[in-house]
Amino acid sequence: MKLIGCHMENYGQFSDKDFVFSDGLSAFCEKNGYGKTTLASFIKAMFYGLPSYTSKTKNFDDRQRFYPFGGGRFGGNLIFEKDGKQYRIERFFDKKSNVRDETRVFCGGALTDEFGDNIGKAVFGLDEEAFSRTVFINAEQTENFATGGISAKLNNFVDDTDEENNFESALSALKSAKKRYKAERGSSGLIFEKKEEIALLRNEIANLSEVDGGIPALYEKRANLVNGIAKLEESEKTARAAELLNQQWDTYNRLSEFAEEEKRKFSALAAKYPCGVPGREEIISLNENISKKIAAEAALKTAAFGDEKEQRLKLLGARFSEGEPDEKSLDNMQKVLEKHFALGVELGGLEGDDVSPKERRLEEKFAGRLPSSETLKYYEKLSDDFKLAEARAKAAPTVVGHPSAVKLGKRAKIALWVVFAFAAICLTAGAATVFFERLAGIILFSASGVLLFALGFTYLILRMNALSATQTITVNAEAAEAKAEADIIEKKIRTFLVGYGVYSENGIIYDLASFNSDLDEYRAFGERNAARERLIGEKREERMLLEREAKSYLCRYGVVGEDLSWELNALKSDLKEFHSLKNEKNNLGKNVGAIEREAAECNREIAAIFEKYGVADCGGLSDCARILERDSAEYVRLKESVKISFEKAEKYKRDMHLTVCPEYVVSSDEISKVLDEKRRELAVLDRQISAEEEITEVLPDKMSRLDVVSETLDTYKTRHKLLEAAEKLLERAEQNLKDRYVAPVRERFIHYAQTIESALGEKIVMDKDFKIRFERGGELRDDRHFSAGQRSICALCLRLALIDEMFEGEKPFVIMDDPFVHLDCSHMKKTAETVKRLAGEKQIIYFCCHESRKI
Amino acid sequence: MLKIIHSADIHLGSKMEARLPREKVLERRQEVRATFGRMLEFARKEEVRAIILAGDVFDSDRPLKKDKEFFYTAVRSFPEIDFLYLRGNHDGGGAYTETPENLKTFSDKWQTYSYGEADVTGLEINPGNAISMYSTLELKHERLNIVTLHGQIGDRSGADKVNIKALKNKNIDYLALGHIHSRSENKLDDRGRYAYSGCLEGRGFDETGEKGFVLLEIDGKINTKFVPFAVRKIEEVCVDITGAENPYDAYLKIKPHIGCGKKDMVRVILKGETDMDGETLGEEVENYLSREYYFVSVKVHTRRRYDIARYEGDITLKGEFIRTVLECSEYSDEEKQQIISFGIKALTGGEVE
Repeated sequence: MKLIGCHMENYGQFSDKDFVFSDGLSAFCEKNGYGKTTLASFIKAMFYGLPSYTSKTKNFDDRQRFYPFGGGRFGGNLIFEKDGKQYRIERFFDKKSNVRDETRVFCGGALTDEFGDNIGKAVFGLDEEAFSRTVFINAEQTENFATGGISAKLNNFVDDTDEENNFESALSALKSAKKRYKAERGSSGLIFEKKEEIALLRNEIANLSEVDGGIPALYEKRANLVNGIAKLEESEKTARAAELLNQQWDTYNRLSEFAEEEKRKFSALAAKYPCGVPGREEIISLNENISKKIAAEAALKTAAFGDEKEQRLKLLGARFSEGEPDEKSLDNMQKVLEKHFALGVELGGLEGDDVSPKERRLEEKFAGRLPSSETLKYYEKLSDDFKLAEARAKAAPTVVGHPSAVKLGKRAKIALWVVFAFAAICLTAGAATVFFERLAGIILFSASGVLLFALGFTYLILRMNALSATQTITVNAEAAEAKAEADIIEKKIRTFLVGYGVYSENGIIYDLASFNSDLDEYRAFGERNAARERLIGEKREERMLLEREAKSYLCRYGVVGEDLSWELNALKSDLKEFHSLKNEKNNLGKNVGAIEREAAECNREIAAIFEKYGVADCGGLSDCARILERDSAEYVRLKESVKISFEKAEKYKRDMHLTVCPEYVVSSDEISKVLDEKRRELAVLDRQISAEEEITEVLPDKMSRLDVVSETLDTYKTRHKLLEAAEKLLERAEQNLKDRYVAPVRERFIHYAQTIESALGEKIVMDKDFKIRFERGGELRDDRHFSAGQRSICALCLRLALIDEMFEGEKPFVIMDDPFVHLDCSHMKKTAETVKRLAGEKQIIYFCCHESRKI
Repeated sequence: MLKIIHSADIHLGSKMEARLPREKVLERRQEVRATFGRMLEFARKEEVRAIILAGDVFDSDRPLKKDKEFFYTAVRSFPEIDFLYLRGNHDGGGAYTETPENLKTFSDKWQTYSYGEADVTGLEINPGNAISMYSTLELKHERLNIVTLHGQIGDRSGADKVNIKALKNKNIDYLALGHIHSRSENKLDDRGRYAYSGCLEGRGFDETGEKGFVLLEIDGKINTKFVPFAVRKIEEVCVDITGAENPYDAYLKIKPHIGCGKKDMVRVILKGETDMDGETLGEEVENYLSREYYFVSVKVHTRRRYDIARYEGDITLKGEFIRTVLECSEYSDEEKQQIISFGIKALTGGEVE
């Protein structure tokens, strides 16, 4: 691989500058400031580009350093040959960022992306740093060690892995995996976690085992408790039986005691009555005698006739001293007074009869001004005249329309009056019938009423027809005269009638008839009132006579008063009382002796009984009798009770099979209390056992889990151990491999070094990172003990050796940027020869700034 | 027809499969109890006269109080059924704590309970009677004889051992055994058979297959019928996943091999050769399967597929590493495989677990 030439469009101080590189050695020996470093930088920049920079970038890197002084497009192109193909790299750089850089690669004039983005890496197989330490040699970089990129390149050479998955990354992966199981420091990782879990489980298991270990003791305690409870239950049962027996004995004792008590009472009572207690008959007799005695004493007390009665008897005796009224006269007087009363009622009815409204109206109309018979006759005559005048007036007229209307009206009137009379009779008869035959009466009365109503209605119709017929009459002169006469008459009659308040639309004939009717009725009223007045007078007279008779009768017995009936009754009552008092006084005198005799008899009998049974005075006969009676009954009861009580007690004893009274036993209640306590204790213990068993139930699972976790821990430990082994063995393998490629590099290094500096000797040691050590005084020394010139030579030799070993086929060019500034003339000369010789094998671009280092 | 159930190894209060989550452990314990309860309901419905419990009703010599309460309550709740309870090697100590009328127990001497034409005879084996028990067993020829014991069958006598040879020609019609958790039935002699009913519910992956009890129908002879009764079946399958490129691929290979249902528990043992990391593979396959079953456990027993010979002449770092590992004498071959696996995975950019 060789560089053919380059064109610097604008780069540092160069602008539109071309360089052509020859095969073999291209040496540029120019003064300082010519741009040798710029050219070297340009070549590197064409392959690897330039780093970006920002305001924060501290280093003054090549993008800043070589930005064109005069401006313009920053960059250029480089032409090189590789594997027989010619390539041209065109790169133009942004002022700051490589993102805006423009890069193109041409192969044989055609654009190609054969090298991708990282052209340098693709061309040389080295990253930029590795490139700087191999094919790019300057005076500053004299450190002798391999970079990662160099190692990668060398490894790649012997390995088919790519750069990303090399030894370093593999080692890192193994370390990382190992770390997952166990951290190098601290206490993290799966192994630790599992150990922790195991420790935790062991603690738990120990705890649970401890609890579990205590459970048998609980069960033992429980068994003892259960046995204890069983015994107590037995004791309780025994105690309860004994208590029952005791209770039965108690009952028997109570029954016996009761019988003894009854016996004692009976004995005491028997002692009180040495002659025995009175029998039932005696008691009954005693009580009867006492009752009789009390009654007799009471009768004697009441036998005296009181002063009040005596006075009354005297008073009544005085009243009836002239003789007592007999029964007949009293009855007669009673009848008189009844009749007197009836007459009073009748008179009240007659006097109280009300005047009817019609009668009052007629009284008002005619009182004090009855018309004389002449007057009445006169107006009768006028009435006839009026009728005649009317007739005349009606006889002449020209009748238009309904000449028969008047005639028909008359006939109808007659018929109407007949029917009206008939209906009135029926109505009256109906009303009367109601009292005998209610339904028939009501029907007749109703039908008559309807008929009357119909008649009235018919009459009105006919009347209206008659009026209308009248209106059709045409009056002629004669008729008018008759009419005038009729009017005069009518006026006279009307004047007369109006004086009596009679006026109607029906005409004077009707009004006059009505007047006459009222007058007749008034006269009839007058006659009837006169007859009633006469009757009232008669009745009053009769009543007064009766009253006088009654008063006369009562007066004989000193009775004076207005209410005669009441007085008569009082008389009767007094008479009865008089007889009663008189009888009572007579009877009392007869009974007293008999009562006194009976009382004495009773006393004797009572005293005999009391004496017989030794009854002392005890506050009264009744009390004594009650005591005697009570004692008698008690005596009988006790006698029976003693017998029954003893029998009952003995029967109970036999029934309950009571033989021996038990001795004192522990109370079943006390045992029950202890038993309850024990049962509670058992319940608590059961709960405790359940709780502890619930806790220890997980013990087998925990132990199983411990097995599983221990197994997992073993697995983890094994894996960790094997990862560690893998790591160690991988390092060993890598060392083996490096030993295999470092040796040739060392050989090539010595080969180059010997041509330049024999002082380095052969005892050069190179480690896997190409750090050079040399043996001096039996001790391996660091290359920093070399002089600067020797270190320059070492750097050159190492790079040449690396190039030889790294690039198996086509060797790359070498750029030397005045690397030999530290060499003296002798070493420079040897180095120059070596470089010239090398230029026969590979292209060398050599820059220097002094003739002394010109090659 | 007389019906008797032969059941054993209920293991009330037992620990469960260690990898089951806590809530599922509790659930399974509850299910063990519930299945026992269901068996009693079945017995009532089928008018079963007696249930032989051939040992290990409880998982412990000192059963939990709540398990005892459960058991004795259940016994009392089915008074029409006799419970012929013979203690096993797990529940030897504190199992008989109550004495309901319908609980018939056994001791270290032969004890017989008669039901119609059948006699049920049993004995609890201990070191004191382990040898003599065979000579003291006397059964009537004319009866249908059911003998119950708890122990491992074999040709020798001893505690927890049932000497089958010694029980031959003893007029046994049916030997109801407990101790082994899998159902099996074999000929004892010309007359009888011996059978393990197995446990009612499997508790871990060492108790796979159908679980239940044996229903004996006795009518002149004894007919047996195994009644699968467990809530969940436990299955273990071994699958060769050679060729699987990734965990999902492995899952697809595994799936057809699993015969149990959604509510069952499955253990999958992966075999074959694969480049996949064991731990990751196990976890991921478990994730895929656990969506489809009640509980899944995956054990990875695969081998790495490294062709050591391929790297022998390799001058690269990989070749050098493999050679270095193989030359190292301080690790076993299996460990070397694992070390190589780690190293190669690291060198090829894979994530090292």
